[in-house]
Amino acid sequence: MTMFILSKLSRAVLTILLALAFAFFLMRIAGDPALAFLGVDATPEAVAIFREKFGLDQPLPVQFLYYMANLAHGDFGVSLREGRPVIVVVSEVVPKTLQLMGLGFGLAMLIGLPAGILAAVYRGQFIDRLVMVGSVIGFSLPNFLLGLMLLLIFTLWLRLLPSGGADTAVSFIMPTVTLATAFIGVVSRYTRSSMIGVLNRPFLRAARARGLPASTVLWRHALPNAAIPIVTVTGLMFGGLLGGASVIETVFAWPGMGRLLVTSVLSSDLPVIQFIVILLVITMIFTNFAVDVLYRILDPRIGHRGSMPVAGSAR
Amino acid sequence: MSAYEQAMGSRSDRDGPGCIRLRSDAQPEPPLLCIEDYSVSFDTPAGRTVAIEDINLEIDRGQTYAFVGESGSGKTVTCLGLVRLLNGKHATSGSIWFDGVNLCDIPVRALDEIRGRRIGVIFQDAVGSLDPIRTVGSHFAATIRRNTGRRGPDASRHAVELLAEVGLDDGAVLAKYPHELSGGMAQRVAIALALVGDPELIIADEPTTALDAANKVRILNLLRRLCTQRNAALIFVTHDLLAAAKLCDHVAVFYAGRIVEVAQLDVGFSKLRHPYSIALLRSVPRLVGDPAPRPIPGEMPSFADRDALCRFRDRCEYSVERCRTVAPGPDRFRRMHVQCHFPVNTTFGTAVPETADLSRSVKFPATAPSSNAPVVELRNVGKIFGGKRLNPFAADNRHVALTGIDLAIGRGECVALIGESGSGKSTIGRIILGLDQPTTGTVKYNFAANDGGPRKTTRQYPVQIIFQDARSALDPRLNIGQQIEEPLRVNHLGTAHMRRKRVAEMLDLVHLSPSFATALPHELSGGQLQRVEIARALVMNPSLLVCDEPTSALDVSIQAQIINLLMHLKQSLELSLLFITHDIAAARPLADRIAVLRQGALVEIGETERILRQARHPYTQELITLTAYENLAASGDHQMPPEPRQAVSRRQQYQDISA
Repeated sequence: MTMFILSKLSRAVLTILLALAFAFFLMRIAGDPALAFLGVDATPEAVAIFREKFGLDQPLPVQFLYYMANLAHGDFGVSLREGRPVIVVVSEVVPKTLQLMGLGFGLAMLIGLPAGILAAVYRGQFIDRLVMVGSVIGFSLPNFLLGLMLLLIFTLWLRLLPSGGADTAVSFIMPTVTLATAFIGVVSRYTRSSMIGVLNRPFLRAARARGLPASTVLWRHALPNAAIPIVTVTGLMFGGLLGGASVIETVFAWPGMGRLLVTSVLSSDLPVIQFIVILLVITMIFTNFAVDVLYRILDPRIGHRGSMPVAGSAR
Repeated sequence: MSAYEQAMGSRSDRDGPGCIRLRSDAQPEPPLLCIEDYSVSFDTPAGRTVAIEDINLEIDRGQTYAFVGESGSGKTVTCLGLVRLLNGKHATSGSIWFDGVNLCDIPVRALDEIRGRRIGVIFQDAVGSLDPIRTVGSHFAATIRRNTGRRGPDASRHAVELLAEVGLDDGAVLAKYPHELSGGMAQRVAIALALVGDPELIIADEPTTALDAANKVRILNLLRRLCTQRNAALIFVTHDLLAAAKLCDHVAVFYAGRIVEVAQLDVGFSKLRHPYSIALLRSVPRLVGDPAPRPIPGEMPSFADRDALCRFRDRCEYSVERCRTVAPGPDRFRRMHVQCHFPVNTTFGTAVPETADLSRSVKFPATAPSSNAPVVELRNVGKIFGGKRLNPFAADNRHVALTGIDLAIGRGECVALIGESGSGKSTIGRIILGLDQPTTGTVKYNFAANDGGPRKTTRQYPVQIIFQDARSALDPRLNIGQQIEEPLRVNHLGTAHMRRKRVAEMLDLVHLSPSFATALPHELSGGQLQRVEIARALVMNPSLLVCDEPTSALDVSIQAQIINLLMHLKQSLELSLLFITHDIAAARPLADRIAVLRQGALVEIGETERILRQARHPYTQELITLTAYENLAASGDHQMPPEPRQAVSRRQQYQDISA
């Protein structure tokens, strides 16, 4: 297990470095950040001062080395737009995004898992068709469209829910539902197909033959075996949740990291973008790591594979 | 209860012609299980198919019944129907009385109280019937808590006792996962799990089919002993009549969804009277007498072709006009009966003390091993799998599969390679095919010019293989003709017309009608698929055919057909064969020589009849003893052959320590 964690960790550091270098150079190659920030009608003097202040007059590799050196000291730079340390700017908005993601993820699991299980158990019957139709609608509907529709219905017509912001508990409802809808569709569909695969396995019939009731067999044997593909999809979903959050935060004027990323990209606020990229990469790496660990917990065969004797395979 | 008594009382009214009853109605105790007019039909896209029809049977406490039949005969459907574990959309009729309760009527909750506690079920695929992500101990914990209410240390004590009872003394089994168990160990665990509730009826659905000869006998012995000790009734589902005779005192023979005969097995097979039962018995390869098994011609009628008349009539050597016009007596007898107009009056099978006969009755074969240059010659071949990995921290996973193999196969000769699973016999096949390279030693081929094949032979493919599982060895989306033609097509041999002609020739060679060329694999039966595989292997006109357990997945009657086909092909095409199997009896009709493989080394090689008559190596003698079918009723579990090697060494260590 130590070897497993060490090798994962070394790969993670490499991944972060590569992603960071990619974001760093791409943003600077794509256009002159000084002009993008100050506007095309800025005086050459102002541009020169701006460049010198933020070290943009140096050659790119030198800039990168400086940036890395600062990172090593825990200095993530200063936001070009706000003049405050990046870490402060970003940490103000991170909790709001985490709340939205957590709620959206929770809702997707809470509805998607039982819906998929029900569909698998009542395969081919009305409830199965209902879940499948719902899931197709769910993941084929673009989330910004869904968000705008919800706004139209609940804010403009019914006047029940606030249009944006994150001030009250009710303002969570529409962003969460919008974010979760697509993932409910994905989770229910994968849960269904994974469960159907497991429900045909002989050990379920054997468990029934030992007198275990249907519900026990479902929870004890079917679901844990079906969980592995579901965990895989859930891990992949996390990246999608972050992307979805950017769109939804813009639609609902949610003061979160997704919206900050969008405004920073539009205004070429390089240090903020780089820091958010680091955060995103770390999130994805952590998710993948969590998925790998979960695999090992869920399926005892995964950790053993390297040391299995060959004898059994001769048959 | 009234319906039950009524049914019991009215039984004598139902006597029909053609049925012979061998036992009186006087029964002091009601039977444990009484199946009445039980039918199951499945809803399929093609419509309703009747899987079993009007099954009637009575089983008393402590009686052991074998359900014998080919696949599709309905024996497994009957068993699963008993405990209502049938999958798929189906409808049942009739009733199943278990100790006064109709299992067909009671709610599922009440059935859950009976399953596991009063009826234990053991399945064919033992490893598959255990949850792969839970330990053996976890299976026991849940089952014991559910069926006895015991938990904690009390439950673990119970589990250890049960495991000891099935011959797994090592408590470490509880901590293992199913994939860490061998097939034999997994089946023992499954048996122990079925015993948790101390059931009055044990249903064992082909529990030994997936096991090799040695493990099979051990499991049969174990089941026999357990049923005797616990006075439990047993239903043993099998397609192997000889195994049935080892274990059971009664047999119900299933054919095409009906029970055609119920008989006692107390004196061998002497009481079998239905032509099908006898044909089935003759199709089993044995170690004495006529080496060639006698196949039953044709195949079992499909679901659509089953009518009220005798369903065996088209394959029956005794059938007359009456069989085609009048249905045999209705199957309403729950004790001994034969469902046939003309039950065979024979004493076939009375004399089956095979081990005793073995030394006298056997004659040496006329064909001596060929003296000409061998087609393939293995010299000192060894094979090691795995090796040092790039990662220096990974454990060394080397596994010695073969050591010092010297083997030659002559032209037109068949060498049978016998060994248990894991002995390395398939690896030898793969090395001869060139799919694996030997780690040490050499493989020398010596093929004659290939003259019979299609012209323009740029490359020769003198070695071909047929696999055990024909269904997965064939592409499900290509039709049979395309699959047989494929080796020619990919090698650009002949024109399209020539290739089609060759395919027709090949189908004819394996006794399939040319119309099969356009069929898809799922439309064919197991035996037909195996013929297709043989045709595909022979289309390149090979000199040597490697047969990797080609018959072990087939029913006995079909197995006999395939063995006879291979015998015929070997003679007519002067084909050399390497016949890989764990069943020494199946190898006997075909093999000129037998090579016995154990743990990657050849322990004995010699002419077939010499090996059978006077095996020199103790391991060979043991294999022959295992295959020879004496009734093991008297012999206890203590005369069991040794356990697999790991278990032996562990047990010896234990004994050494405790001594």
